[in-house]
Amino acid sequence: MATDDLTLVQRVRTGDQRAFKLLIERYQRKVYGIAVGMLKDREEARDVAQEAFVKVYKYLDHFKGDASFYTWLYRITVNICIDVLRRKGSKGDEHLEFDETLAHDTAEANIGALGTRLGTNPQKSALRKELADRITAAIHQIPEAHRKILLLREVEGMSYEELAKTLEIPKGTVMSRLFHARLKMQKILGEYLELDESKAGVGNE
Amino acid sequence: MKNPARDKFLPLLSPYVDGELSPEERQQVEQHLANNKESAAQVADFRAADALMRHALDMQGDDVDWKAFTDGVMAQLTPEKLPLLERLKLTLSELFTYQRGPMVAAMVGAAAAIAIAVPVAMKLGAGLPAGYGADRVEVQTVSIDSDSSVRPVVMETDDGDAVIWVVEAADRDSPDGGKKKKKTGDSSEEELNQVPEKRQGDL
Repeated sequence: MATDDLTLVQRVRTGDQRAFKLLIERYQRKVYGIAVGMLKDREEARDVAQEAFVKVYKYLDHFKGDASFYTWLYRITVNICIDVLRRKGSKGDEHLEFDETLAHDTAEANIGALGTRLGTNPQKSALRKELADRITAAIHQIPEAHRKILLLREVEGMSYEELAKTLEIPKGTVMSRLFHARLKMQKILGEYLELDESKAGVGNE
Repeated sequence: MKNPARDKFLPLLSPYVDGELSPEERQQVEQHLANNKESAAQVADFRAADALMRHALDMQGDDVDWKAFTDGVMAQLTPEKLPLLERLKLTLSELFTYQRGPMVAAMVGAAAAIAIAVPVAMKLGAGLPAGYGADRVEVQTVSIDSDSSVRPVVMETDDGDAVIWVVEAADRDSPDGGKKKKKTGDSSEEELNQVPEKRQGDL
Protein backbone atom coordinates (compact mmCIF):
# COMPACT_ATOMS: atom_id res chain seq x y z
CA MET A 1 0.00 0.00 0.00
CA ALA A 2 1.56 3.31 -1.05
CA THR A 3 0.99 5.90 1.63
CA ASP A 4 2.72 9.26 1.58
CA ASP A 5 5.24 10.16 4.26
CA LEU A 6 3.10 12.82 5.90
CA THR A 7 0.14 10.48 6.36
CA LEU A 8 2.45 7.89 7.92
CA VAL A 9 3.95 10.54 10.20
CA GLN A 10 0.47 11.53 11.35
CA ARG A 11 -0.37 7.91 12.05
CA VAL A 12 2.83 7.49 14.05
CA ARG A 13 1.78 10.48 16.14
CA THR A 14 -1.44 8.68 17.06
CA GLY A 15 0.64 5.75 18.31
CA ASP A 16 0.67 3.61 15.16
CA GLN A 17 4.06 1.91 15.33
CA ARG A 18 3.44 0.00 12.16
CA ALA A 19 3.37 3.25 10.24
CA PHE A 20 6.82 4.01 11.60
CA LYS A 21 8.03 0.59 10.52
CA LEU A 22 6.91 1.46 6.99
CA LEU A 23 8.91 4.69 7.13
CA ILE A 24 11.98 2.77 8.28
CA GLU A 25 11.62 0.25 5.48
CA ARG A 26 11.17 3.06 2.98
CA TYR A 27 14.32 4.97 3.90
CA GLN A 28 16.65 2.60 5.74
CA ARG A 29 18.78 1.77 2.73
CA LYS A 30 19.28 5.39 1.79
CA VAL A 31 19.96 6.48 5.34
CA TYR A 32 22.52 3.71 5.62
CA GLY A 33 24.00 4.81 2.29
CA ILE A 34 24.51 8.30 3.69
CA ALA A 35 26.01 6.96 6.90
CA VAL A 36 28.35 4.50 5.20
CA GLY A 37 29.44 7.26 2.83
CA MET A 38 30.14 9.63 5.69
CA LEU A 39 31.75 7.11 8.02
CA LYS A 40 34.21 4.41 7.10
CA ASP A 41 33.08 1.78 9.54
CA ARG A 42 30.01 -0.18 8.41
CA GLU A 43 28.97 -1.26 11.89
CA GLU A 44 29.19 2.35 12.95
CA ALA A 45 27.19 3.39 9.90
CA ARG A 46 24.48 0.88 10.77
CA ASP A 47 24.35 2.09 14.35
CA VAL A 48 24.13 5.70 13.19
CA ALA A 49 21.35 4.86 10.75
CA GLN A 50 19.41 3.12 13.53
CA GLU A 51 20.04 6.00 15.89
CA ALA A 52 18.71 8.41 13.27
CA PHE A 53 15.42 6.54 13.10
CA VAL A 54 15.14 6.34 16.88
CA LYS A 55 15.76 10.09 17.13
CA VAL A 56 13.21 10.78 14.46
CA TYR A 57 10.65 8.77 16.40
CA LYS A 58 11.54 10.47 19.66
CA TYR A 59 11.35 13.98 18.26
CA LEU A 60 8.52 13.47 15.82
CA ASP A 61 6.52 16.21 17.52
CA HIS A 62 9.29 18.65 16.49
CA PHE A 63 8.69 17.84 12.84
CA LYS A 64 6.59 20.74 11.58
CA GLY A 65 6.05 19.45 8.07
CA ASP A 66 7.46 22.57 6.40
CA ALA A 67 10.23 20.43 4.87
CA SER A 68 9.68 16.93 3.59
CA PHE A 69 10.06 14.07 6.04
CA TYR A 70 13.10 12.63 4.29
CA THR A 71 14.86 16.02 4.28
CA TRP A 72 14.38 16.12 8.02
CA LEU A 73 15.46 12.49 8.41
CA TYR A 74 18.64 12.99 6.35
CA ARG A 75 19.48 16.18 8.21
CA ILE A 76 19.32 14.22 11.44
CA THR A 77 21.42 11.41 9.93
CA VAL A 78 24.06 13.82 8.66
CA ASN A 79 24.16 15.59 12.03
CA ILE A 80 24.72 12.31 13.86
CA CYS A 81 27.47 11.41 11.38
CA ILE A 82 29.10 14.81 11.96
CA ASP A 83 28.94 14.27 15.73
CA VAL A 84 30.61 10.88 15.31
CA LEU A 85 33.31 12.37 13.08
CA ARG A 86 33.87 15.22 15.56
CA ARG A 87 34.30 12.78 18.39
CA LYS A 88 36.97 11.14 16.28
CA GLY A 89 38.65 14.49 15.71
CA SER A 90 37.82 15.05 12.03
CA LYS A 91 38.49 18.54 10.69
CA GLY A 92 36.43 18.38 7.53
CA ASP A 93 35.27 21.97 7.47
CA GLU A 94 38.79 23.34 7.81
CA HIS A 95 39.75 21.45 4.66
CA LEU A 96 36.65 22.82 2.99
CA GLU A 97 37.49 26.46 3.57
CA PHE A 98 40.91 25.84 2.06
CA ASP A 99 39.50 23.88 -0.87
CA GLU A 100 36.96 26.48 -1.87
CA THR A 101 39.50 29.28 -2.07
CA LEU A 102 41.49 27.26 -4.58
CA ALA A 103 41.23 27.90 -8.27
CA HIS A 104 39.52 25.15 -10.29
CA ASP A 105 42.06 22.41 -10.11
CA THR A 106 41.24 20.48 -13.23
CA ALA A 107 44.75 20.34 -14.59
CA GLU A 108 45.71 17.25 -12.58
CA ALA A 109 42.56 15.32 -13.37
CA ASN A 110 42.65 13.01 -16.34
CA ILE A 111 39.51 14.50 -17.90
CA GLY A 112 37.34 12.05 -19.77
CA ALA A 113 38.99 9.01 -18.25
CA LEU A 114 35.95 7.89 -16.28
CA GLY A 115 33.42 8.51 -19.00
CA THR A 116 35.54 6.70 -21.57
CA ARG A 117 36.06 3.64 -19.39
CA LEU A 118 32.53 3.33 -18.10
CA GLY A 119 30.55 4.39 -21.15
CA THR A 120 27.34 6.38 -21.12
CA ASN A 121 25.60 4.08 -18.65
CA PRO A 122 28.17 3.11 -16.05
CA GLN A 123 25.56 1.45 -13.87
CA LYS A 124 25.36 -1.35 -16.39
CA SER A 125 29.06 -2.03 -15.98
CA ALA A 126 29.97 -5.09 -14.03
CA LEU A 127 30.88 -3.37 -10.84
CA ARG A 128 32.53 -5.88 -8.60
CA LYS A 129 32.14 -5.80 -4.85
CA GLU A 130 35.85 -5.26 -4.47
CA LEU A 131 35.68 -2.23 -6.74
CA ALA A 132 32.60 -0.93 -4.91
CA ASP A 133 34.60 -1.07 -1.69
CA ARG A 134 37.41 0.86 -3.33
CA ILE A 135 35.01 3.51 -4.58
CA THR A 136 33.53 3.81 -1.10
CA ALA A 137 37.06 4.23 0.23
CA ALA A 138 37.62 6.94 -2.39
CA ILE A 139 34.51 8.76 -1.18
CA HIS A 140 36.01 8.81 2.31
CA GLN A 141 39.05 10.63 0.98
CA ILE A 142 37.22 13.81 0.05
CA PRO A 143 36.66 16.45 2.75
CA GLU A 144 33.68 15.96 5.01
CA ALA A 145 31.58 18.90 3.83
CA HIS A 146 32.11 17.95 0.18
CA ARG A 147 31.35 14.34 0.90
CA LYS A 148 28.18 15.31 2.74
CA ILE A 149 26.76 17.42 -0.06
CA LEU A 150 27.75 14.94 -2.74
CA LEU A 151 26.06 12.10 -0.89
CA LEU A 152 22.90 14.04 -0.31
CA ARG A 153 22.80 14.96 -3.97
CA GLU A 154 23.75 11.61 -5.46
CA VAL A 155 22.39 9.07 -3.01
CA GLU A 156 19.32 10.98 -1.91
CA GLY A 157 18.77 12.90 -5.13
CA MET A 158 18.10 16.17 -3.31
CA SER A 159 17.55 19.28 -5.38
CA TYR A 160 19.71 22.37 -4.81
CA GLU A 161 16.77 23.90 -2.98
CA GLU A 162 16.52 20.91 -0.64
CA LEU A 163 20.30 20.83 -0.16
CA ALA A 164 20.28 24.51 0.81
CA LYS A 165 17.53 23.81 3.37
CA THR A 166 19.08 20.63 4.71
CA LEU A 167 22.59 22.02 5.07
CA GLU A 168 21.39 25.53 5.92
CA ILE A 169 23.62 27.20 3.32
CA PRO A 170 22.81 29.53 0.41
CA LYS A 171 21.96 27.98 -2.95
CA GLY A 172 25.08 29.54 -4.50
CA THR A 173 27.23 27.72 -1.96
CA VAL A 174 25.46 24.48 -2.81
CA MET A 175 26.40 24.94 -6.47
CA SER A 176 30.01 25.83 -5.73
CA ARG A 177 30.49 23.10 -3.13
CA LEU A 178 29.06 20.41 -5.38
CA PHE A 179 31.29 21.51 -8.24
CA HIS A 180 34.43 21.22 -6.11
CA ALA A 181 33.26 17.94 -4.61
CA ARG A 182 32.78 16.51 -8.09
CA LEU A 183 36.18 17.63 -9.28
CA LYS A 184 37.75 15.84 -6.32
CA MET A 185 35.73 12.67 -6.86
CA GLN A 186 36.60 12.70 -10.54
CA LYS A 187 40.29 12.89 -9.73
CA ILE A 188 40.31 10.28 -6.97
CA LEU A 189 38.11 7.83 -8.88
CA GLY A 190 40.22 8.28 -12.00
CA GLU A 191 43.29 7.25 -10.04
CA TYR A 192 41.50 4.33 -8.40
CA LEU A 193 40.14 3.05 -11.66
CA GLU A 194 43.47 3.31 -13.44
CA LEU A 195 44.98 1.27 -10.66
CA ASP A 196 42.17 -1.25 -10.78
CA GLU A 197 42.15 -1.42 -14.55
CA SER A 198 45.78 -2.31 -14.60
CA LYS A 199 44.85 -5.38 -12.52
CA ALA A 200 41.59 -6.63 -13.98
CA GLY A 201 39.88 -4.14 -16.27
CA VAL A 202 36.85 -2.04 -15.49
CA GLY A 203 33.53 -1.87 -17.19
CA ASN A 204 33.74 -5.25 -18.86
CA GLU A 205 30.31 -6.74 -19.17
CA MET B 1 46.60 27.00 -22.73
CA LYS B 2 44.03 29.24 -21.06
CA ASN B 3 40.55 28.94 -22.51
CA PRO B 4 38.27 31.83 -21.32
CA ALA B 5 35.11 30.11 -22.58
CA ARG B 6 35.92 26.93 -20.67
CA ASP B 7 36.73 28.89 -17.50
CA LYS B 8 33.39 30.67 -17.81
CA PHE B 9 31.34 27.53 -18.29
CA LEU B 10 33.23 25.18 -16.00
CA PRO B 11 31.27 26.10 -12.80
CA LEU B 12 28.04 25.58 -14.73
CA LEU B 13 28.88 22.00 -15.70
CA SER B 14 27.97 20.58 -12.29
CA PRO B 15 24.52 22.24 -12.12
CA TYR B 16 24.06 21.27 -15.77
CA VAL B 17 24.56 17.60 -14.83
CA ASP B 18 22.08 18.09 -11.97
CA GLY B 19 19.47 19.74 -14.21
CA GLU B 20 19.52 22.87 -12.06
CA LEU B 21 20.16 25.48 -14.77
CA SER B 22 17.58 27.80 -16.26
CA PRO B 23 16.52 26.98 -19.85
CA GLU B 24 18.69 29.85 -21.18
CA GLU B 25 21.77 28.74 -19.23
CA ARG B 26 21.25 25.16 -20.32
CA GLN B 27 21.14 26.21 -23.96
CA GLN B 28 24.36 28.19 -23.58
CA VAL B 29 26.12 25.28 -21.86
CA GLU B 30 25.00 22.86 -24.57
CA GLN B 31 26.38 25.17 -27.26
CA HIS B 32 29.65 25.32 -25.34
CA LEU B 33 29.79 21.53 -24.98
CA ALA B 34 29.27 21.12 -28.70
CA ASN B 35 32.37 23.24 -29.33
CA ASN B 36 34.57 22.16 -26.45
CA LYS B 37 35.55 18.48 -26.21
CA GLU B 38 37.31 18.95 -22.90
CA SER B 39 34.17 20.30 -21.21
CA ALA B 40 32.07 17.56 -22.84
CA ALA B 41 34.49 14.96 -21.44
CA GLN B 42 34.26 16.65 -18.06
CA VAL B 43 30.47 16.33 -18.07
CA ALA B 44 30.80 12.64 -19.00
CA ASP B 45 33.23 12.18 -16.11
CA PHE B 46 30.91 13.88 -13.64
CA ARG B 47 28.06 11.65 -14.72
CA ALA B 48 30.19 8.51 -14.57
CA ALA B 49 31.56 9.39 -11.12
CA ASP B 50 28.06 10.09 -9.80
CA ALA B 51 26.77 6.78 -11.11
CA LEU B 52 29.76 4.89 -9.73
CA MET B 53 29.31 6.46 -6.34
CA ARG B 54 25.57 5.71 -6.21
CA HIS B 55 26.11 2.15 -7.34
CA ALA B 56 29.00 1.50 -4.95
CA LEU B 57 27.10 2.83 -1.93
CA ASP B 58 24.00 0.92 -2.92
CA MET B 59 26.07 -2.27 -3.06
CA GLN B 60 27.18 -1.65 0.53
CA GLY B 61 23.55 -2.05 1.52
CA ASP B 62 23.50 -5.59 0.10
CA ASP B 63 25.43 -6.84 3.11
CA VAL B 64 22.95 -5.52 5.65
CA ASP B 65 20.25 -7.68 7.22
CA TRP B 66 17.44 -5.15 6.80
CA LYS B 67 14.90 -7.11 8.80
CA ALA B 68 17.26 -7.17 11.76
CA PHE B 69 17.91 -3.48 11.17
CA THR B 70 14.19 -2.63 11.30
CA ASP B 71 13.62 -4.89 14.31
CA GLY B 72 16.58 -3.26 16.04
CA VAL B 73 15.07 0.19 15.61
CA MET B 74 11.60 -0.92 16.65
CA ALA B 75 13.02 -2.55 19.79
CA GLN B 76 14.46 0.80 20.85
CA LEU B 77 11.17 2.65 20.60
CA THR B 78 9.21 3.20 23.79
CA PRO B 79 5.75 4.41 22.91
CA GLU B 80 3.51 5.92 25.54
CA LYS B 81 0.92 3.50 26.86
CA LEU B 82 -2.44 4.53 25.48
CA PRO B 83 -5.77 4.02 27.29
CA LEU B 84 -7.56 0.76 26.45
CA LEU B 85 -10.24 2.45 24.35
CA GLU B 86 -7.63 4.35 22.35
CA ARG B 87 -5.63 1.15 21.80
CA LEU B 88 -8.77 -0.65 20.64
CA LYS B 89 -9.57 2.17 18.22
CA LEU B 90 -5.99 2.12 17.00
CA THR B 91 -6.01 -1.64 16.48
CA LEU B 92 -9.23 -1.43 14.46
CA SER B 93 -7.88 1.52 12.54
CA GLU B 94 -4.65 -0.38 11.77
CA LEU B 95 -6.63 -3.42 10.66
CA PHE B 96 -8.67 -1.34 8.24
CA THR B 97 -5.60 0.55 7.04
CA TYR B 98 -3.13 -2.27 6.51
CA GLN B 99 -5.41 -5.31 6.20
CA ARG B 100 -8.34 -3.76 4.38
CA GLY B 101 -8.58 -6.52 1.75
CA PRO B 102 -8.49 -9.50 4.14
CA MET B 103 -10.80 -7.68 6.57
CA VAL B 104 -13.44 -6.98 3.93
CA ALA B 105 -13.16 -10.56 2.66
CA ALA B 106 -13.56 -11.92 6.20
CA MET B 107 -16.60 -9.72 6.85
CA VAL B 108 -18.23 -10.72 3.58
CA GLY B 109 -17.54 -14.38 4.42
CA ALA B 110 -19.04 -14.01 7.90
CA ALA B 111 -22.14 -12.28 6.52
CA ALA B 112 -22.58 -15.05 3.95
CA ALA B 113 -22.21 -17.74 6.64
CA ILE B 114 -24.86 -16.06 8.80
CA ALA B 115 -27.20 -15.65 5.83
CA ILE B 116 -26.96 -19.38 5.15
CA ALA B 117 -26.83 -20.70 8.71
CA VAL B 118 -29.85 -18.85 10.14
CA PRO B 119 -32.51 -20.11 7.63
CA VAL B 120 -31.05 -23.63 7.78
CA ALA B 121 -31.20 -23.65 11.56
CA MET B 122 -34.78 -22.36 11.51
CA LYS B 123 -35.80 -25.01 9.02
CA LEU B 124 -34.19 -27.80 11.03
CA GLY B 125 -35.72 -26.52 14.24
CA ALA B 126 -39.22 -26.57 12.75
CA GLY B 127 -39.07 -30.36 12.14
CA LEU B 128 -38.30 -31.37 15.72
CA PRO B 129 -40.95 -32.81 18.07
CA ALA B 130 -42.33 -30.48 20.69
CA GLY B 131 -40.22 -30.54 23.80
CA TYR B 132 -37.37 -32.33 22.12
CA GLY B 133 -34.03 -31.23 23.43
CA ALA B 134 -35.64 -29.19 26.16
CA ASP B 135 -33.81 -28.96 29.42
CA ARG B 136 -36.52 -30.68 31.33
CA VAL B 137 -39.60 -32.73 30.54
CA GLU B 138 -42.41 -32.25 33.00
CA VAL B 139 -45.01 -34.92 33.70
CA GLN B 140 -48.48 -33.59 33.21
CA THR B 141 -50.63 -36.65 34.02
CA VAL B 142 -50.19 -40.25 35.05
CA SER B 143 -53.01 -42.65 34.19
CA ILE B 144 -53.55 -46.40 34.34
CA ASP B 145 -55.52 -48.39 31.88
CA SER B 146 -58.63 -49.54 33.66
CA ASP B 147 -58.34 -53.07 32.16
CA SER B 148 -54.80 -53.66 33.28
CA SER B 149 -54.02 -55.29 36.55
CA VAL B 150 -51.44 -52.85 37.80
CA ARG B 151 -50.97 -50.65 40.79
CA PRO B 152 -49.08 -47.41 40.86
CA VAL B 153 -46.46 -46.86 43.51
CA VAL B 154 -45.56 -43.20 43.77
CA MET B 155 -42.58 -41.83 45.59
CA GLU B 156 -41.88 -38.19 45.96
CA THR B 157 -38.32 -36.94 46.13
CA ASP B 158 -37.23 -34.13 48.40
CA ASP B 159 -36.97 -31.68 45.51
CA GLY B 160 -40.56 -32.30 44.44
CA ASP B 161 -39.93 -34.80 41.62
CA ALA B 162 -42.08 -37.88 41.47
CA VAL B 163 -40.80 -41.48 41.04
CA ILE B 164 -43.55 -43.75 39.87
CA TRP B 165 -43.60 -47.50 39.58
CA VAL B 166 -46.31 -49.38 37.92
CA VAL B 167 -46.51 -52.75 39.59
CA GLU B 168 -48.69 -55.68 38.55
CA ALA B 169 -51.18 -56.62 41.18
CA ALA B 170 -49.95 -59.67 43.08
CA ASP B 171 -53.39 -61.15 43.51
CA ARG B 172 -53.99 -61.41 39.76
CA ASP B 173 -52.31 -63.17 36.79
CA SER B 174 -49.51 -65.20 38.35
CA PRO B 175 -48.62 -66.64 41.73
CA ASP B 176 -45.23 -64.92 41.81
CA GLY B 177 -46.75 -61.52 41.26
CA GLY B 178 -45.98 -61.44 37.51
CA LYS B 179 -43.66 -59.07 35.65
CA LYS B 180 -43.02 -55.71 37.16
CA LYS B 181 -42.97 -52.42 35.36
CA LYS B 182 -42.15 -49.03 36.58
CA LYS B 183 -42.03 -45.55 35.21
CA THR B 184 -40.12 -42.62 36.60
CA GLY B 185 -39.73 -38.87 36.18
CA ASP B 186 -36.38 -37.56 37.38
CA SER B 187 -34.65 -40.23 39.40
CA SER B 188 -31.46 -40.65 41.35
CA GLU B 189 -29.02 -43.47 42.11
CA GLU B 190 -30.00 -43.36 45.74
CA GLU B 191 -33.66 -43.95 44.97
CA LEU B 192 -32.86 -46.87 42.68
CA ASN B 193 -30.78 -48.51 45.36
CA GLN B 194 -33.66 -48.34 47.76
CA VAL B 195 -35.86 -50.52 45.55
CA PRO B 196 -33.51 -53.00 43.85
CA GLU B 197 -36.25 -55.49 43.10
CA LYS B 198 -38.13 -52.99 40.90
CA ARG B 199 -37.48 -52.27 37.22
CA GLN B 200 -37.46 -48.69 36.16
CA GLY B 201 -38.66 -46.96 33.06
CA ASP B 202 -38.83 -43.39 32.00
CA LEU B 203 -42.02 -41.60 31.28
